[in-house]
Amino acid sequence: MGDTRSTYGDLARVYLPVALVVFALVGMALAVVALRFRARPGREPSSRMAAPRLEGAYIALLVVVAGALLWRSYEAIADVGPVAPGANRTIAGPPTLTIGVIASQWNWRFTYPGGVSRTGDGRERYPVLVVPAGRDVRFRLSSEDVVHAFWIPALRAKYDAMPGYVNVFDLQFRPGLDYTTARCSEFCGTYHDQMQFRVRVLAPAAFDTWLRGQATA
Amino acid sequence: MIAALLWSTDHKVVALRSAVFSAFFFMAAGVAALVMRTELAEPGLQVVSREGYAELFTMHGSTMIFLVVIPVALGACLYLVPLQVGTTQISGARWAHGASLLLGLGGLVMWSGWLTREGPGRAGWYAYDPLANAPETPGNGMDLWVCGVLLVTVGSIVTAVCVLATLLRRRAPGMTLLRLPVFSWTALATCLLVIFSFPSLVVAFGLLLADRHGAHVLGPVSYQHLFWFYGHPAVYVMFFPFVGMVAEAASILSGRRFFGYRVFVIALLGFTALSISAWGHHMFTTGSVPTKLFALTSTALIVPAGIEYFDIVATLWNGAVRFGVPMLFVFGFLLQFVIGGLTGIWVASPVLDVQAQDSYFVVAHFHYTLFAGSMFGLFAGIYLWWPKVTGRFLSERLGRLHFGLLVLGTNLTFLPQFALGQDGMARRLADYPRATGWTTLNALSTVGSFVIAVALVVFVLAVVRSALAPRTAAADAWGGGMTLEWWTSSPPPPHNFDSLPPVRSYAPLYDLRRREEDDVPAPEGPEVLRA
Repeated sequence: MGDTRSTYGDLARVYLPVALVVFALVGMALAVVALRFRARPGREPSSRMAAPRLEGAYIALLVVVAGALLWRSYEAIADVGPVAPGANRTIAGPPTLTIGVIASQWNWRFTYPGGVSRTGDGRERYPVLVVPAGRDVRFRLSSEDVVHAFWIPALRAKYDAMPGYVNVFDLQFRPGLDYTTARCSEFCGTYHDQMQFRVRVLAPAAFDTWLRGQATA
Repeated sequence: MIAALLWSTDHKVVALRSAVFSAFFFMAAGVAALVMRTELAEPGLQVVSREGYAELFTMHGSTMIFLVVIPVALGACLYLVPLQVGTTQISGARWAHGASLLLGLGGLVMWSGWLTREGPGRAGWYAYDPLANAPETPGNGMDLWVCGVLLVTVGSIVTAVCVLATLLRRRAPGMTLLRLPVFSWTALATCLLVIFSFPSLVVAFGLLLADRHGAHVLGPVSYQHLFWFYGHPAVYVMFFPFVGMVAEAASILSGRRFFGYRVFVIALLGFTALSISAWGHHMFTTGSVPTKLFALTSTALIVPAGIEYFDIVATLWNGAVRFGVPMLFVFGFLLQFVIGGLTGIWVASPVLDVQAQDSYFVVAHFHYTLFAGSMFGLFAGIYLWWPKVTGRFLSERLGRLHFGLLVLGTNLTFLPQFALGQDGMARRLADYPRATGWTTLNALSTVGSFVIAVALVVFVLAVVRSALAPRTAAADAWGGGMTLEWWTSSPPPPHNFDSLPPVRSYAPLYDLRRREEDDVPAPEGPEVLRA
């Protein structure tokens, strides 16, 4: 459900070849025009104004391509689960862990069960999001002031944090990815570029130990 | 002459006046872009402060959209539509005249924010609530920015009404709607979009202004709906007329009537309908829009866009294609805009958009549509109609240099930004950490932006040289004109036409040439004469 990176990769592997083929076709058509249909003495331009059958077949092809891409996109949406305001959200199975994320100018606060809360100083010491590896983590995302966006590029995951709204979504974290670019991606004022965070992925057992340690501390 | 330029109600003068305003704002926005690219060439803040950077990207984006591309798109309609439909004047000439003054005035009001203590607008061109509200972005400069945009946008609506009325009420005898030239059809679709969607921006910015002064009307999601209900159709306002220019250039310089005219017109109307139904794809990450619906309406744009591409390429196919400068820009448009279009289909898919949204991928995407696409279409149009407007040709040699440098600079600037965005570089960052490894691609992009600047200087040289050249352009300057503007002298007289040929199709001048070749007697009925 929350494996956004794999879902994204699978979908991109459908879209990218289609895009490259279309680009190549346009390029080839223009190359033929430049080579074969250049004006030269004796060359008479065609007076034809339409080719209804060819155009009809072409339009049918466009509809099929658009339909196929859309169908794959819908499947991907179902895989990731739609990002939706909290109340409308239904996910099969109980969440094992819910982390609250509060964005504010220009900092993040992560809240865990048991009253555990982690934040940074909004300058050089970035807040660290500590998560368990390999299982779905549910997030509840909101903002205290303006619109921010919670972006973890390594997971191909981004959701807006808006005051007065809570967005709920699931993510799965793999160890070994480059999480150093996680940040706010919606312009939110002067220190927008400083609104970063780091991600620390722990083995599930180590995470449970860490969380217990935080709760008692 | 200056007074005439400022106070004439001749649609041609009004359009040129708007073009002069836009040219100045274009230079200002370009300088802002160069300063930003210089700042981003390497990590650290070397050139501007963070506040300064926010002012620059806000003024660059809002100037390019509100003061350059939209007014130029509408200005081209204002100049060409009366000539293409064979009439003497635009409908509501004094209104159009007033609208062009609103453009200059509104632009000055937007830029006057630099004179205030807090600086001009600096909440991004889409000015999201609550960031754009007074507690977060205080100061008169931001208010001036909002007011300036309102003035210009009201002017755009007025201009669109005038052009649409001309298209519907002032066509020459014989010119049915399905005999409108292709460019005029794109103008018609553009006006429909402006009239339908621009009031939404007036509402959004009016409420923003009220909220900045004590009202509490907007919320983050409702503002975004109002804004993008304008913002997405605006993208097509900045696209359709340039497609029309490319289509006309392709037709004239290949010696063929535009191919698939009727299908093109239907596709254009479908395009118009879909484009006002697709705004929600700007809001996929908000969690407050039905993603599947907007994925559907956005992905469906493949069909009309695919048809338009097909018809333009098919017009060149089997033609006798002359590779003058306009045709080079047609090729540049077709090859580069398709990159913007394909990445547009990419971001129409919610799961793929999530990574691209608000990243440099999206910056690259819309610059491929607006700069590599629309701007190349505009240059195709400028080189094509320059002899019609001025009676003089632009230098072929300088034009080729301009084109070559612009292709190089455009791709060097914007291609690396796709990779930067995918790798995690968000837009609107004044600075990025060195450890990200983004320095090389950013430096390339910066070099590219200066190549663009050089290309534009070459264009200015071509303009200056043309102004010193003698008037040599014939009425049908390219010897292959299809539509009525090529019937009258270059430049046209103030009343546009001394006479009109019969209009029996969407390519009346082509019909005349064929008739002369085939030695067919002229059809019955006198030529329409207008004094």
